[in-house]
Amino acid sequence: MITQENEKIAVDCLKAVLALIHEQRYKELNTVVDEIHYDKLDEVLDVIEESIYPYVIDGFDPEVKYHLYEMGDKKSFCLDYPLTSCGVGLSGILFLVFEYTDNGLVKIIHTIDAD
Amino acid sequence: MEQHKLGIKPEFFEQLVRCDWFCNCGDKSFDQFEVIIEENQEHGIACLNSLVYENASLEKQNDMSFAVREVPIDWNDVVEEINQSGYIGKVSKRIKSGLKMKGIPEEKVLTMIRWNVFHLFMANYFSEYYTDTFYEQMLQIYLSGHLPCGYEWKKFRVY
Repeated sequence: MITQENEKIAVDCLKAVLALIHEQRYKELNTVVDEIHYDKLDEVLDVIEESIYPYVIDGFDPEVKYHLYEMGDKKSFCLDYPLTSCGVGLSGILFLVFEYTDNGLVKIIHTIDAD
Repeated sequence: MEQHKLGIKPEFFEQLVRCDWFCNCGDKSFDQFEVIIEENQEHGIACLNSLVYENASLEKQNDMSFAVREVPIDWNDVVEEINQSGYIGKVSKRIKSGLKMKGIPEEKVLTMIRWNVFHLFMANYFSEYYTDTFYEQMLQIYLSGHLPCGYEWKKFRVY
């Protein structure tokens, strides 16, 4: 169940992930999540950054609306967040998944998809 | 809806033809509204051609076409009318001349500038029914002799 506490954990995780992406410190992403499911995430982020040069992907922007929803199996919930640069949409969505476990939430970077 | 109010306003076209294109590029003289000043030509060109600026322009174009969907004229007919009017060609000559005078490489910027100027014409065509500060500010920047080369956090980057 997506409680207020779980939402806060998810948003804090999102902020940490975006802060590292913004600074192009992709190798450190595994320090703020437990798992990264997306194969070659570094390369994908590199391609996005190259495509928007000289701009970079923004950190967390409170004006950008994120979506939280329970997954069908009720064992996890998802947070999706549209990537932006300087407040402009980039046609890419970051998906984070949070699995419920007895020891708390497992934080996962699931994928980056085209909008 | 009064269709006769649609169309390019002659004074708009005259402004663009009389404009001293790009004469103030590279200085910090712009003070008409809040912008991000860009002094470096190379960086300005990179920003102008960036996907970020293109996305911002596309979003504004979509806003305009959505806003005028009730206007009883086909969007594609307006595009054709403007393209066949000769307006863009005449303004392009002035743009090319301005770029040459200022030493801005035409091959790196002309396509994007033409694209933006074309949408200024579209915005002017529908101006009785639709306004957006994005196009109003873009026009003011061009008329002031600068180049709008980016759009960041809802502010133009100006070279």
